[in-house]
Amino acid sequence: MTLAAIAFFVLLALGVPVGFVMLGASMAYFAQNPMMASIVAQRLSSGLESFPLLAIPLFVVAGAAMARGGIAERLYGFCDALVGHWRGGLAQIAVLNSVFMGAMSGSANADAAIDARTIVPVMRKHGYSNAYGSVVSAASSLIAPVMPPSIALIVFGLLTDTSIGKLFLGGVIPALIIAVTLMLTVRWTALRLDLTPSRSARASAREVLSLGRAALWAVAMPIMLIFGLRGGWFTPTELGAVAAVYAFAVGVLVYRGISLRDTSELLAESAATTAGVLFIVASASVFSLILSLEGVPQVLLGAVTAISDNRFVVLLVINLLLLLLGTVFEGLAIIVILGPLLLQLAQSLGIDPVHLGVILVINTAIGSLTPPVGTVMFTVCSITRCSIEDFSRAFLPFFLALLAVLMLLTFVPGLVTFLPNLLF
Amino acid sequence: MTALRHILRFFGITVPAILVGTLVLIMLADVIARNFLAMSILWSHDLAVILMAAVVWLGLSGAAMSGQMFGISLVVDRLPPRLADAARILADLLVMLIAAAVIRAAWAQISTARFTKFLALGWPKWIVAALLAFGMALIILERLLAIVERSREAGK
Repeated sequence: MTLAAIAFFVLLALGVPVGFVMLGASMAYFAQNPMMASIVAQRLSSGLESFPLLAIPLFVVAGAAMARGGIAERLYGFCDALVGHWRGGLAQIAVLNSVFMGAMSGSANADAAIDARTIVPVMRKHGYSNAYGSVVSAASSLIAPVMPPSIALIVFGLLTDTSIGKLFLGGVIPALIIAVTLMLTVRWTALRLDLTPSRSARASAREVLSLGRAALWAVAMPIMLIFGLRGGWFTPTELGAVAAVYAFAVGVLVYRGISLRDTSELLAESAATTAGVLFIVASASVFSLILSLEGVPQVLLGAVTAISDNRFVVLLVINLLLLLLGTVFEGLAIIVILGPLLLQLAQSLGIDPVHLGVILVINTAIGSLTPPVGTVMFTVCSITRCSIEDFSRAFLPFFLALLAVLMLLTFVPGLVTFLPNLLF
Repeated sequence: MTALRHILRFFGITVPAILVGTLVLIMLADVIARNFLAMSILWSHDLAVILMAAVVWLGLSGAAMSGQMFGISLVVDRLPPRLADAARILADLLVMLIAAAVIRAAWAQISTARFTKFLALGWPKWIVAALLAFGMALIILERLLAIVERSREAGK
């Protein structure tokens, strides 16, 4: 185990891709263990032999089709009309846009990368600091893994046998609370930093309505989700295929924004994104095996329960543990490794699995924004060339606001479970 | 070099793109068949799972080429330029070593699990292990080309 731990940290420090870090540490472990190396290949293969996991490539294609088909641009225009006249208007647009974009991409890294490439340069031109723009891009991307269709929630549901439909609905209210909190934080920081609005005057009702028509195509996706699932027409996995074809049809027939060349590019981009995400899931499933063989999660959870058997104290400790782990591990990897074990603990304390799933995802997402090695923070900083020190300073008010949301959702489970209980 | 890049782009980008498109169509066909024709395409789930595995293992080299396989560069970025270059080469070599070990493991998996099959399709399950091995071979090739291209740029 010591060799595996050394291999893990050396590979991480050398900048080896996260999936290969876990795979390398697993290989080092099996090199000194009598268990056959073929277990690694068996776990890598079987980690992907799952029907619900198919939702990931399908929703990734749906997101790529929406982003390329002209919906994303129209959403930006709609957000500008709604909040562009506020102080820090561009930052407000970035947050609001993430609500819609998150509903398409389902991945914090994807959403943060899009924002960092598109909105941050515009912010810099309007006098925003590079660090502030980077932080807003990173923080607003936290909405994506919580808002349906969330890749992280799909993985949690699959591993813990929790209804993915319920998890999707459980993420809606928390995602909206995160969005409102981030917008309030932007408003507060914009006043302190004297950031200008992106438009000089409030948009007229006519303009808002006209631009809002474009957003209807994006809003229709969650509506399809609820009606399709409740009507029993398709499973959440199959919904991904329906959403992908829907987004593609809108892009081709309504906005005429997707050409044949765009189609091949969006499919290639989707395949690369799918490979990147699912490679981490498969590698984490191998890595979780060695942790299980060594009894690490049990020791960790035993330590948590030794502190208290009060569910709220345990939830608080779990939050702290996950936040710490999130700064070092990739979010999906934590979900694969700890999700099933935390579920056992949660069930023994009467905690709803949907509540646990959403809290787990928010925790790992916040962890991915924090130094020293938060993955979303690194994605954004590597694109915007922002230093970790500057990012950390600018991130502090957002971090405190997100922690407050996390505590609220932890101690008021109804905010998560209300919608799933109402509709299922 | 150019020919190798073409091969890599074909198997790492073009083929996974076609497969992911096929995956969407197969899933949609099953939904339509079930809801409108009162029949289910039984083999669609098996085929979709195989297609997904192919997209992941072949597409991994495509993801590496398009910079979607990220690592944490906090330490390496702070090293002096020459040391940072050496660290990047070492990281690439380690990735190749890990990929080679996975190929060996996949070969062992193919040898021991050749009799298990996908239930509806009847295809042998070693197909997935073979895709894994091929994908890792593409990763080795991709890293090798990346090292050579970086060295050439540094030499200019």
